[in-house]
Amino acid sequence: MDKKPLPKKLAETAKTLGITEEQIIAFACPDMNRDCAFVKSYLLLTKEMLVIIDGKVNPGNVFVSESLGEVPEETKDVSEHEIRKIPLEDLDALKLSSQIRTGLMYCEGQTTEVLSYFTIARYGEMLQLTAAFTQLKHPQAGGETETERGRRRRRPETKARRPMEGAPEGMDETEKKMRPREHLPVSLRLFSYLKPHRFRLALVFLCYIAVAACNLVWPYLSGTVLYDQIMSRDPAILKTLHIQGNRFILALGLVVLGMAAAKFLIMVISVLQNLLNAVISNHVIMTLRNDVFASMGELELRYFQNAQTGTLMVRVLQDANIVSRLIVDEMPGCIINIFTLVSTVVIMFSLDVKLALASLLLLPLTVFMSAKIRPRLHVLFGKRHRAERGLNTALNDNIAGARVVKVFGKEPEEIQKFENTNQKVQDAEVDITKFSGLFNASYSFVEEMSTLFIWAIGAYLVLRTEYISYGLLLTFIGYVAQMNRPIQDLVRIFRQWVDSMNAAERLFEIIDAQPQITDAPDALDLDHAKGEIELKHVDFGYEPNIPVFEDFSFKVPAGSMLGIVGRSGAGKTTLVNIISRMYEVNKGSIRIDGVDIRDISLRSLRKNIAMVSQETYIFIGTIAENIAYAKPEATREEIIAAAKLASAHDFICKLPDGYDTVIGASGRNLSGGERQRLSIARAVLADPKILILDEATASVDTETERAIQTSLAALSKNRTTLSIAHRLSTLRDADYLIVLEHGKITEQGTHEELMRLNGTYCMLKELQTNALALKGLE
Amino acid sequence: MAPMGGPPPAGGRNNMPMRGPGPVNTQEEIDLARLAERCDEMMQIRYLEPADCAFSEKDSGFIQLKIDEKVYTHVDIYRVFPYTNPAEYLSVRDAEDAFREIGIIRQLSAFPEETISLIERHLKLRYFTPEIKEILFVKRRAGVVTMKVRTEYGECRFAFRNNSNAVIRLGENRVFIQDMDENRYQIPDVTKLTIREQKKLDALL
Repeated sequence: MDKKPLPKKLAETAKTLGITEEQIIAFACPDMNRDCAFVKSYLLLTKEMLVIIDGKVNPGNVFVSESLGEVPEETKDVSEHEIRKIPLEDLDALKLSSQIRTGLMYCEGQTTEVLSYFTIARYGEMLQLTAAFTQLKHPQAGGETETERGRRRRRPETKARRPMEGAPEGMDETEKKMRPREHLPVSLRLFSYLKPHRFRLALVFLCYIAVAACNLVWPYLSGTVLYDQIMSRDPAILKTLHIQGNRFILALGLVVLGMAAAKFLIMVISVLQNLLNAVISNHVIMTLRNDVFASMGELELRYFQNAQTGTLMVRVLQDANIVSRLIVDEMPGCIINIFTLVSTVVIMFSLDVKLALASLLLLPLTVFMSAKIRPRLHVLFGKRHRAERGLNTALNDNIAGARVVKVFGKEPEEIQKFENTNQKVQDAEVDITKFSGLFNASYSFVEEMSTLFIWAIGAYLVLRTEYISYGLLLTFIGYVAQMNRPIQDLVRIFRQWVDSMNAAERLFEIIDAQPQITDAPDALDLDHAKGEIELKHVDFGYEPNIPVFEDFSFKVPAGSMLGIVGRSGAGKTTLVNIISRMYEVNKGSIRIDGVDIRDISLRSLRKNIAMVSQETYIFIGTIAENIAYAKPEATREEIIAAAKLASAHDFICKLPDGYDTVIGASGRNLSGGERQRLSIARAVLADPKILILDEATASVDTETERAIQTSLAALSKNRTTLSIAHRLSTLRDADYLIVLEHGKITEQGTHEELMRLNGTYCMLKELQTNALALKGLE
Repeated sequence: MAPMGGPPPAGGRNNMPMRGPGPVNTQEEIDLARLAERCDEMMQIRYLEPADCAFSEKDSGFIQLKIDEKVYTHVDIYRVFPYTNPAEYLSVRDAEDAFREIGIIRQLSAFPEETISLIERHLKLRYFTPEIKEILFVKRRAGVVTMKVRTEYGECRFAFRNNSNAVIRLGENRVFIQDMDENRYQIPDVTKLTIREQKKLDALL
């Protein structure tokens, strides 16, 4: 064992007690007394004795959670504390007892006595101390008690995280490594991912400055140069441009070219800048994802079991999002756009018909680009979406299948697989950025050119004729620029509209689904059912052309137990499904107490039938709520009694939060057997007349099965019970058995009769007995 | 801690005696009788009446229970509904026999004064959950929340990861916070905190 240094003062105190640092084998710092007051106590273990230094109750004591990794204040003067030395020969064993939120250490030997109390945070170091004691006392055993083992099992995560050496200032190595990173704010941590891109980032900044400069040049050219110099025929401009004579038109042409060049430069720079942005942001996202995934591989399994993995819900939520975005965001925009377009056109035509026509001349080109070329971008988006879906699937697989991945040690392969998928997403993303960068740039180039076209024509008109004034020309240019944005938006909204309608259709499909099984208009309530079940000439199939049952008839007397035996796919579960009217029969009838189940209200039918199946569903809520699911008004005592009957009471009581334990989606996870017993308790409390057990004990161990069997036997008293089981031992209490094969009853009778028949049942029975005998179970 | 109590009966072959047990030999008969007894016990709930039982604290620090002339030298007491009914339905278990349930105390208040204080003290230790009286500060950094609070036991400082598992809401206003060491702290009624404290807390809920 590596020794961690003792707190200084404690070492000094130990010295006053005649104990050197080397003599101390283990120490711990229990932090409570028996009245739950925070104290600073110490336990020292040497080869000869156990020293207990009991801390004093002091109102100034501050309790510091161990995970903060801070050094608790050292006790100034230990001499005041009550000190007890127990020779090791007086101690047979040191044991820990978990008290749910606290713990206590007690000794066995000359006397049994509680020696110290501590909060759950100290459990690790106390465990170290008791283990050291056991090692010392019984070097060959080196074991831990049942409680301690249980305790460790329950907290696998603390084993890795918690320092096991019992040092109060404890941070172990991994924790130390993690801490500085952990404590950086998220935004700063994101910045650290930008580090490899610092040159690209510098370039992006240069681009911004260049674009800003170009944008500054434009108004200068269009304002000062154009109006003040060219249009007011200032000879200085001709001189600057080295133009001979009075050729102002040539000067104009040059300036126009210059302005076009400025815009072209802006376009080129934006493309470059967009590309840089895309590369940087996508690379950062990809690195982040890879990092998250790689560290996920290292996380404990419990983490995955708590993680939510819903797919249908996500789809529905996404669809709903798409629809709501169209309605909330796009529709108002659409209206504003249409209004803007129409009013602009009206005003333009009212001002000047010829110029308006000229302005609209290039409009079809922008519309064409939006409507025809942009959809290609859409295809690329689809490609990215598929790649992202692949990424999600990979992620989902690894979360849901975390156990399998870990069991087979496939983490490196999975990480590689994930990185490949992630690469695809990145490629798709870059494709999109390339195309959309080019498209957006050329689109705005066309936009600008159409404005320039009007501008040029307008200016030509102003110069050549006195047909229009400068002011009017400027107004027109303004209007034309104003028209481009709405057109672009409308085309986009139109495309989104199609998407949204598809999404809405999927949503409505769910909303509009009609229930197939409903109450008959004059449905009866079965108030005091006896529980007799009769199937008469029943035909049924999930698909109309693939029958499961044909002309199927049998009868179960009230209060008896029917065992249903058969191979997988013989129709056992289907049979109970049609009896509880989860599906409607195609022909014939199913009667309970002589009444066709189609004439019984679904509510009262379901109230009289309870099913315990191999698939147990636990709702989000407390255990008590889950048991009382079918009878929310149940009293505490009824709930306890039901749990007791289902052999669930004991395990529930031992949960820290008892019946108040929150289970379900993000709550605590129960084992298969525990869930099974909860669902039996649920059925017990529902108190049905007909009880269906569909492989109710399939997912539990033999030990638990026995307990559950006993519960079920008690439960099936005075009830009609249909029990399906693979394990024939489960059915030994059945009054009557039927053997199903391909939807037909091939054998029926009591256990003895069927054994005498020497058919399928007998064969299955013998097979299983032999198999169990081989395992030494029967 | 084996929840099912007791070792499996050895060599029990036909151990479901509830309906029509077949012919059995002597060894199995004994097993069956024991199992039947166990099963009956498992299905029964015994509610402990104050008149029948005597709880006392031994020098060892454990609770002793004397009931029907039988003495259990070390019993543990569990709350069946720790939050919703802390003082009712207490499961009394024999720590020396795999924590088998001896019985349930329906209502602690029906017992004598000294029993109440003894059991309450033990429950306080077992379900140690300091009550947060005052929030002194809350700091959030990279998903880790550090809190300093004043409780009835004194000042506490602790840290927890801000996810759904650390902060548990029970009912409308009751909040439990579980720190990284699995210590729990509770706020019985959030609305009783000052507005400033509530604002500090709001960020976490």
